[in-house]
Amino acid sequence: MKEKLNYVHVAFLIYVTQSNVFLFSVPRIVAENFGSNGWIGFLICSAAGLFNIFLYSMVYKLAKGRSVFDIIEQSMPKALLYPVYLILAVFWIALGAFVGKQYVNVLQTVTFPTTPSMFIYIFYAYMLYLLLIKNIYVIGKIGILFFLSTIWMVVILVYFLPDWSFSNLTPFLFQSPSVPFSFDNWLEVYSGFIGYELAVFLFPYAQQDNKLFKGVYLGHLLVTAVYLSVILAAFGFYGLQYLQADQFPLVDMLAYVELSFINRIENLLLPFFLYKSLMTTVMYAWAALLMLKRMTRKFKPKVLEAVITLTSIGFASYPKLMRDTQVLVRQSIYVEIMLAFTFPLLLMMLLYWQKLRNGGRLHESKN
Amino acid sequence: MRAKISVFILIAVLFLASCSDQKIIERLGFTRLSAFDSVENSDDIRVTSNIPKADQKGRFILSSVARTSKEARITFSRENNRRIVSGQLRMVLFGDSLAGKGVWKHMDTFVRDSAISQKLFIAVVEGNAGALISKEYKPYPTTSDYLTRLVETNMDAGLIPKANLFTFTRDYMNDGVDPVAPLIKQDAKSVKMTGVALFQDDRYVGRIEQNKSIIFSFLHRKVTGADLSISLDDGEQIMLGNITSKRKLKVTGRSLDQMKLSVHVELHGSIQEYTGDLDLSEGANQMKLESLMSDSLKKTVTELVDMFQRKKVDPLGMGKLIRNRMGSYEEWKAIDQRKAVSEIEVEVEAVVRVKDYGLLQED
Amino acid sequence: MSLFRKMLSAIIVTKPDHPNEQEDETIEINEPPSYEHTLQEFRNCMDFTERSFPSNSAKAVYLTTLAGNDELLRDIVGPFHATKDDELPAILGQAPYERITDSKVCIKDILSGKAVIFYQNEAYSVDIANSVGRSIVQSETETVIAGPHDGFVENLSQNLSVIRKRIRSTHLKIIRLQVGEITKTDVVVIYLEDIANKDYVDLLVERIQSVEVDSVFEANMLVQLIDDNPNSVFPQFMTTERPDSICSKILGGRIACFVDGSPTGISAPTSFFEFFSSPDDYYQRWHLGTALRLLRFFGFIITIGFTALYVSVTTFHYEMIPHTMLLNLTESRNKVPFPPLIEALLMEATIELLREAGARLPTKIGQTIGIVGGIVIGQAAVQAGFTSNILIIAVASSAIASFTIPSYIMSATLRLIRFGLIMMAGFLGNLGLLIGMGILMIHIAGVTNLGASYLTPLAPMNKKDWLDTFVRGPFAMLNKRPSEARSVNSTKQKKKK
Repeated sequence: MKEKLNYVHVAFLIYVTQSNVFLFSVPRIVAENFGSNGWIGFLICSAAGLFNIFLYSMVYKLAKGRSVFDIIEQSMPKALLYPVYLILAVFWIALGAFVGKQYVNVLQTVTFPTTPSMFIYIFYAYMLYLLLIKNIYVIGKIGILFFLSTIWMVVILVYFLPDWSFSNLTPFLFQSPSVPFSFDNWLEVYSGFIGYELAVFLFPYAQQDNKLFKGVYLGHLLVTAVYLSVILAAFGFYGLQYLQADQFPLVDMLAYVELSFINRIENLLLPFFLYKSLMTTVMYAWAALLMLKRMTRKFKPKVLEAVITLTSIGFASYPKLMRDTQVLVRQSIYVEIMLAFTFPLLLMMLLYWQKLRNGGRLHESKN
Repeated sequence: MRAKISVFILIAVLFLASCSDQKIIERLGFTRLSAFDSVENSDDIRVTSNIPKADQKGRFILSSVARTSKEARITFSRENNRRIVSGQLRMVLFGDSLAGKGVWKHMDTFVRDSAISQKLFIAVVEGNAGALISKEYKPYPTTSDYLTRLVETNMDAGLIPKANLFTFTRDYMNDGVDPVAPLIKQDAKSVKMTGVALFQDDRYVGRIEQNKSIIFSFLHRKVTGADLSISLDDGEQIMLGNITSKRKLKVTGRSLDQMKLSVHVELHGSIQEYTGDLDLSEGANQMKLESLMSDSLKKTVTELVDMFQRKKVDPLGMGKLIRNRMGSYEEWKAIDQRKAVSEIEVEVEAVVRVKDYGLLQED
Repeated sequence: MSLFRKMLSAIIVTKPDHPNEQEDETIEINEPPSYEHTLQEFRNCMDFTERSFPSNSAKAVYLTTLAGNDELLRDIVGPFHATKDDELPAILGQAPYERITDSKVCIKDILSGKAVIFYQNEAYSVDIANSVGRSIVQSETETVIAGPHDGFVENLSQNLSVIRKRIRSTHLKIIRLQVGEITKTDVVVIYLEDIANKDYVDLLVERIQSVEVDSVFEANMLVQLIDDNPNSVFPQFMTTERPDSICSKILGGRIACFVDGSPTGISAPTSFFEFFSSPDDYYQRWHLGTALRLLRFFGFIITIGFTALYVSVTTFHYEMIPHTMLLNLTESRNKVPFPPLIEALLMEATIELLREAGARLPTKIGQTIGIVGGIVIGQAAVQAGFTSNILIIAVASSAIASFTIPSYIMSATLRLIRFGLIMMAGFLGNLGLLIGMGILMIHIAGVTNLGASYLTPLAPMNKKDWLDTFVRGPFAMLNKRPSEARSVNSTKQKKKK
């Protein structure tokens, strides 16, 4: 398509990719891992994310808008790369599926507890399919729509102001976390930011005005702001010990909201998070689609998307209980974090090596 | 062709899904009130539920002895032609003897169940809670409406503290503060609010009398629109109306033995009734009246705080304030928190300001 | 084995097919028009008349059903009655007489209402068509309270004259095309040169020319043949019967299109939000215009969601019902034998039946049926225990809200969507409702119109356009043309100093 993604589209797209079911439990995770005033630790994680995005933006500048695949395939043999593509594609489909499944599980603690979760997941997968068969530009537009459908809920946080107490925050820093201190803590809190690394696949689709990463930064900061406001509200509203005991603070906070003409709007508000979760799954599946398409062009148009959707359903049906899903999600995200950090470093090394080989001159952009 | 198959599958899934989760409203019985009483010589409880009938003229009272409230609900379902659900539960009452043993294990189910609202009212009944909710109080509307409205109106007027499931859970789980709940009693023809129930963690240990409960509200939170009747030393009565209150609790000092808690309460109101002789059009008299009222207020507040310290309860959150002044969190964890709260020196300051004197200028 | 191969061929792209051989283009020989050939073509047509004149050898042929008397007198009888043979070429050489060299054109001209004059192996045509049709009145489906009350009619040249009167500029270009193998309907494309985007114009013309059907009677039929997404429920071209509407769209850089015989005008490229704006917004003060627009969006949400919300709340989410209403609702639903989903579908279907019936009846009876159906049947249904009264309120307010949308076609689409959402809500509650809306949003985002996104200015986001889409900003602030028209010259007024 002749249309390219504007940096504003990219910002919203990154926002909905990063924002997913993790939002429900993030205050508790921060409280468990960091203790009192843990939101400061959360900000530190966000800064680490910014640094990672910075690495990617350096790659973008060096690559001058070429697609990541072009860069890699220029120097490495395809026979070596194709298995890597396949593994990555499968991994990403699995990651997306687990995230989606976790959302369905959380939803089922509140509504529809006895419906088989796969029934709900099939609709989720259908929406995934509908999105995959459209190109990235349309996915960007839908990202904007979904963003608008969910961002208004931040206003609901105002409802908690009368009960919010500053003294609940305590003046102590990082006291009494309920899990022992280790690097794991930082990893777990950092999992909320995963999603920006998919920007690396957007290189050829963005407008060529070098503003792509401005959009990515914006999206990341937006996610930080939204998560931070939820965390702060939860800390002041609940107090530390209660927060550590509450599985999904955001769900309970939404359950607390009661308007005069309609009670308990939480079962109307919770499904809105479906959209955010869906976009996360979709973007990972789209990255997987790119990998698969790169490997072979022999398939008719919609077949690969259907295969991905069915694989996603397959992965999602594997964990049956909530704790299984949580474990799988956490493990996949840890792997993803490592990937996110090492990938730009590898790419930069590759680019430098290519530069050296060509006598200080990179290939012209193939666009 | 592919599209047709997938659409067909989707529609099939749609029809199959959620047949088990349907909760069509005319087939449900909504529990509005639940009461828990202790049973003698055992750990069981008696659970009573008040389920309004659809025609709004009657209600079902279901009562049984069980170990937990959900077990009792299963028993109820065996009797009733509708499915009993608790999503519309408005109020939970505990009999005082059960409350003395500790209420958290029965409240745990309310917190876990996602269908139950966190704005559930909690109250302690002087006497048997089940009997209270089983009776209809003419000419008041149905008991569930009557009780919930009663509690709501009194909360808005400041006569009782705002106590719902959320505040109770939060104060119970956080250190440095104890929960409170209103106290009610069944009368011959009606139900009366008789004070505030004080909890130590989750056990009911003491009470504040009716006439002092509004002063407690002034200490607990900001109150607007309350009325207070003060009797002065010389037997005169003053009624202060449309009160807006402000309160500030502060702890000064860094180490435990140096700490002092200062309580500052300020009331602004208009005089609506005065049985004394002072001519209120003169400024000096007004100030005299204000200082008399302030003294009376200070006395009552000091009495209350003393009582809290004696009974080792902390409804005002003094523990939180002490904690926030300590040097580090370990220090706070190391000390005996209850002792610190009950032994801290307290200084009370009470100010009453009169906004206006009503329409009567002089006697 | 062959089954496997069939499955494989369904998913794998095989070698590309042989390139299409160039079809032999039979070059049409232009036959010169001949009198006998024309008579032969028009045999058995009772309205085909030939006329010869006493003083010369010219012969005129025309269709009486298409010819107008005044024009006949003026252009045929008058000039030819008394002239001699040698004066004829002089007359025939001038306008309005045109020389024809192709017999196909000759036939076509006669069918269009022209008269053809045969003189010495040559043919000339002159236009004597009579405009027949109704006079210009306001369209019944699109009325405004304060504004011009004229509307388009079925005759193309009358419509074009209404437009020409409003836009007096040489930049207004009118391109004529023909659609329909048998009906040979005239279709015109109108745009403002140097303001409209040339790519869109070319694309539209190309699309119209590539339509190969027997007949096109209505502009609404034409749009279904030329749009990007024929399988979408949403209308992609804006259709309207109001001249002021079409003219403002042309001035905004959009392209308009008319079909002869249809009072509806088309405009492209369209965005979803255009269907919610009515000319009324511009004729009232901007505060009112804004409030009305916002009301319409609110009405949009109500019309697709209210009944579905009722169904989902009474079936799955009883906790959402306010305490005071709960017992009332339970009591009224007590008497109904159906589950809420069926009840809602039945009521909605009844309303649709009433509406459809009302559309077919003559106006006098139609109004009575509306009142009878609406009030009496509704009341009786509640009392008989057929439905609950709260559902009647929900269904009625949805129906009323759907009428706030100015475009009839869009409101019909929304009614259909409402059914889909009710079904989803009935099976999966609020989750189903939001899944349904999610699928809808995904679908809308993919719709394009001539390549332009259907959801501008929301996605791609263009904040300057919001002043005229979601609210109606004061005229002083509406300086630019709408962005989706991709106009070459996007400033339409300069800022006031």
